[in-house]
Order: sequence, then C-alpha cells, then structure tokens
Amino acid sequence: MTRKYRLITGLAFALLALSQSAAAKPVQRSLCVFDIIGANGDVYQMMKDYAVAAQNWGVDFQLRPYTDEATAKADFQAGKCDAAAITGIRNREIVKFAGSLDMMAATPDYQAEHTAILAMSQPKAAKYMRDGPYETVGVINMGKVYLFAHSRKHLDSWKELAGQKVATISYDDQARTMVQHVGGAAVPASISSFATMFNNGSVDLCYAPAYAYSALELYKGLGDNGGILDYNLGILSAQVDIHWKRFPDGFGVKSRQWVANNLWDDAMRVIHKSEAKIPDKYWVNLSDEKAASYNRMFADVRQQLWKEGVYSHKMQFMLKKIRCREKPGNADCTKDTEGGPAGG
Amino acid sequence: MGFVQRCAVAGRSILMVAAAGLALSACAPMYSATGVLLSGYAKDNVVPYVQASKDTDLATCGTALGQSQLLGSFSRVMDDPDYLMFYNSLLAGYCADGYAAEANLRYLRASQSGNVEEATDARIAEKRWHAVAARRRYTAYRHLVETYGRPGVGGCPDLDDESDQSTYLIGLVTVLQAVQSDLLSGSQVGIPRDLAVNAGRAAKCLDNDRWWGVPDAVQATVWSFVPGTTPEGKTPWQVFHKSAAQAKASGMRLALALYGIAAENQGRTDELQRAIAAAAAIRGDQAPSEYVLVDRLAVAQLRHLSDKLWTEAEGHRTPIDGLGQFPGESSSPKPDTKGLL
Repeated sequence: MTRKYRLITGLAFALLALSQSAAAKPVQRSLCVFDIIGANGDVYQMMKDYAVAAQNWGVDFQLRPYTDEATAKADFQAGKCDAAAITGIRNREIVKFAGSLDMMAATPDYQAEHTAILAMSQPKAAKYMRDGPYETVGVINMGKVYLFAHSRKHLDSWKELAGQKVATISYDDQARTMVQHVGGAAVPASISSFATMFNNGSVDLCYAPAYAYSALELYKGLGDNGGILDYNLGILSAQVDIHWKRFPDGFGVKSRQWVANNLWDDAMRVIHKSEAKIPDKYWVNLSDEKAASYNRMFADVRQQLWKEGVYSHKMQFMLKKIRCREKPGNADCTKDTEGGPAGG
Repeated sequence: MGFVQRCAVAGRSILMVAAAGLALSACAPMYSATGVLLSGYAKDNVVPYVQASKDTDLATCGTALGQSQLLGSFSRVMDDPDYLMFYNSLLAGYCADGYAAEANLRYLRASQSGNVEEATDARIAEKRWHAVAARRRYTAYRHLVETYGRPGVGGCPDLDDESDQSTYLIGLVTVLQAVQSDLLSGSQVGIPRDLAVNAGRAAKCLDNDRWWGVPDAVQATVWSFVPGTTPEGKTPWQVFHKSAAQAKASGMRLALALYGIAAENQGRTDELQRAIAAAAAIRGDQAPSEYVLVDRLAVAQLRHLSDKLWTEAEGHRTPIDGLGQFPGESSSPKPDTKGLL
C-alpha cells in the first residue's frame, strides 16, 4: 500500500468517525414555553415530555418558562429562542395556517378538533405548516372557550348580548369583530386583567376556558344569577413553532405526529378535570333552535373574516369540511361561504 | 327432640348470643377511649417530638406512614382526629414528594445522557409520585378545613394559641404544595386551583414578623403562580428579599423554600440562586428548636432545587456540603502553583 493511499484511507476513516459521532449527538436548541402559570404549569409539563421525545429526532431542547406570551413571541421572532410554544391565536401572526385553527366556533367539539390536529400533522400538510422562516411542529388542544355572564338571561340568545360590555383580549381581533357584530361593547383586557374586570363588575361578560372558573375565581363574578353558555366559542390550542433552518431535516413531520399521537390524552385529562369543576347550576344549555341561531351568527362573522383575509382560507375551508362531516345539517354546509359548500 | 327440649335449646342459644353481644359491645367504648387517648397523646407529645426532629426521612416516610393507618382507623369509632391526621397527611405528602424528586433527577440525568427510554420512564414515575403527594396534601387540607374552616373564605379563624397559629401556617404552605404537586403530576388529581389564591388571602391572618416572614412569602408565591394577583407596584421579589432577611435573623428557612419555588416557576435562575445561597449561609440548625423539622424540610426542598441546577449542568446532584455553590464555581480558592515546576 503506497504512503499516499494509506493517508487517504486514514483520512476517510477519520472523517467517517467524525460524521457518525456528529450524527449521534443531538443538537442543543432552546424552547421558550409560554405557560400562564410558569414552569409548574400544564403546558410546561407537556413540553418536558415533548423535549424527551425530541431527542429521538436529533434535538436536545433546553426549556425556558415565560408567563408573558408577548415576550415569548417577541423573543422567538427576534431569534433568541430556537423554538417557542404559544397559543394558536398568537401563532396566526407567524404561521397563518396553523394559527387559524383557533378560529371562533369553527370546531363544534373535541372530536372535530382532534380530526383537525391529525390532519395538520400528516405529511401532506407539511407545506402548509411552514410560513417563511417558521414552521409549526406541534399542536396541542387546550380546551373549549366559554362565555361567562353575570346574568344568565343574557346568554339565551346572542341578540341579548347587544349593549353588554365584554372583556376582550387586546390582540384577539376575531373576538373584537364578534362582539361588535352582536352590538356589544368590547372592553380591552389582558390575560392578567380580564378575570378581575369580570369579578368586580367592570364588564358584564368575559370568555375563558373552564380552567379559569377555579384558578381565576370566576365563580365570584357569576354569583347567584350568573351563567356559563354551554356552547363552544372556539377551542384554544398551544402550538410549537421553530426556526426550521435551525433544525434537522424531517424534524417537523416527526414532531407533529408525535405531539398529535402522544399529547392528546394528557391534554384532555387536564381539560376534563377543569370542566368537571363547574357546578351544573351555572350551565346555560341551548335548545337546538337557539344553538342553530348562534351557529348562524358565528358563520356570518367567520364569512366576514374570510373576506377580510383574517384567517388562512385553506384552514377555514378545512374546518368547514370537518364541521359539516360531523353535523351535515348545519345551514352553512350548503352555502357558498368560507370556501364553498362542504356537505357531508 | 320434644317441644319443651327444643324451647330449652333455643332459649340457651338466645342467651349465648345475647351474652356474646354484650361482651363485644363493651369493647366499643374501649376503642373509642383508646382512640381519644392515643389522639391526645399524639397531639401533646408525638407532634411536638416530630416537629423537633432532625431526621426528615424518619419523620416523613417513617412516622407518617407508620402511624397513619392506625391513627386514621380511629375515625371509625370516634370523631376524626383531624389535628393529628393533618400532620400525618402532610408528612406523608413530603415522603411522596421525596420519591418524585428522585425520579425527577433520574429524568434529568437520562435526558442529559440522551437515554430517551430511561427519561420517559422517569417522567412517568415522577408524575405518579407527584399525584400521590397531591392526594396526601389535599387530605391534609381537608383536615385543616375541619379544624379551622376554609382558609381565605370568610374571616380569620380563632388562632389565639401558638400551636394553632403554627399549624395554620404550615397548613397554608401545604395547600400551595398540594396545588403544585397536582400541576406537576399532569393534573391527575384535580385539586381546585383557587385553593392557592385562598391560601394567599388567609396568610394575612398571621403575624408576618412572628412567623419568620412566611405569611408574606406565601402571598408572594401565589403572585408568582396566579396571573393578575400581584398588587400594583409590587413584585414577588421585593417581598422575598425581605423574607430572606427575616429568615437570616430567625434561622427558619421556610420562606426561602417558597422563594426558591417561586423563582424556579418564573424561570428566574438569579433569584433561585439567591434563595439557595441565603439558605446555605444559615449554618446548622438555627431555627427555634421546637420547629427544627419544618426548617429541615425547607432545606430539603431547596437542596432539590439545587440538585436540579447541578444535574442539568454537570450530570450529578449538589456535592456534599455544596449547598450554596453553583456549577462552575469552586468551593475554595485554588492555591497558586505558578513557578513551582
């Protein structure tokens, strides 16, 4: 064997060893997690499990808790976080298709939400889950949003909401549109302030997931005459975004599928525990006719938002198809709205 | 057998059954009396003895688990010994929390070394133990409620007695721990989340200066967990820094444990290190002798928070006598070896 040949062979082996060693070791990446409670919160616990699984796909996440979502989003977009877990509503500004999942009254129940998340997680949805430098790599159900009112009589029909003051999260433009549509007064609020505003009577209504009933003591605002509308205003989600160029090839698909298959049950347990805490006396159940009236109102609002381009049209039509598969009798299923008829 | 003979046999049987019943029913007051006696003895002697104990493992996993079933069974023959079962349940909660802490460190080590199966298993084990801790702590809360009413709902209970005040204080901390344990379990138990806010309100029933800065620390902990509860112009850290000074003066580190928990929850490693360092600066057992166990359990909590920092950075827990040191720091200055060789 010539000296030159031995040198080349040795170099080749050395390079092979290096590349194998590099492939085996996961890359370290930061994951900034918005959780309203902090590092002890439900979302953060799920992200710890997610981070363990991510090592299988070549990434070693270092988690950081954020209790302020605006800061988490800003740090992510500024590049300080390689990945971030934020709400779907916020994510609409980053990955429009994924963030549009949290559209108002678009998924009637958890089964529909599950279908939507699974659809978003399949490989053929991958191209929609990227938006510029960002990619959504996980979607977690965080529960239905309900309307809380000081007086239950205001929930019987959406027309009763006219003239009522509704605490509306400042960046939630879809909620603001809805409140204005029904003739209510949208009073700007934050996640930190809306419960106090409701409990001290500054507003007549607010909307929140079931979790807030106990954690933020909304029962104080409900008192003896209050009620919670048993109608799904929308389902919140937590969504994990990455700067996709900083992650190994194929990370997104594996991540989305793992999250969809592994975190659904954990999330539902948290949701069910919260919803079970609400006493029966507070629920305001709608007759089929009144529920249909709410459905029509929300369909009108969503169509208005379609025209304004607030949501991803792709997502909006997909959710209509899911909704109409479940409830083909809904009036909007045969209408040429939100992308067209979507019967059965 | 003739009629008369049958009647005689029946009559004797009836008499025998009645006699046995009489004998057994005579035991019932004895059980009840024994329960009252044991309960009273435990309150007057066992609880103070255990509170002054320095062996946290014996006090939590030993005492609580050992006597829990025996003393609890007396609720079948007398009114529930709530005062006693409160202490038993909260100590049993610490025992479960200890197992959860070990599983947590196992998860961190496995994550560091890329052992996904081991890390996944450790996470499941950790969450199971947190659920056990949550249930036990919630049981302690229910016993507290039986004795003092619901904390933070309505006015303050009657707390003229010092032992009532210390029990109430420890109860409020236990409430926060119950909610935290449930969160860390993945909400398996479903403890009402408003208990934390109520505990913060109830803390105002206690004299903050008398009780080592802990009542204010309870409130500040609630602020760091529940959005919208921090008063305008205040931060939890202002309160915790003051509590740290009170801990230094009294030797009782319970407020520092709450400080550490709040800091970790908020991702404030700087504040967490400050809490741990403040605890480490209090050497030995300087807390009042009758509350040494409370102090030791607080230190154990802070040590676990320190263990997490060390494990994440170095793959192992805090070195022996290393509480107050942090990864990358040396325990003693290195001698100058320049020019020796």
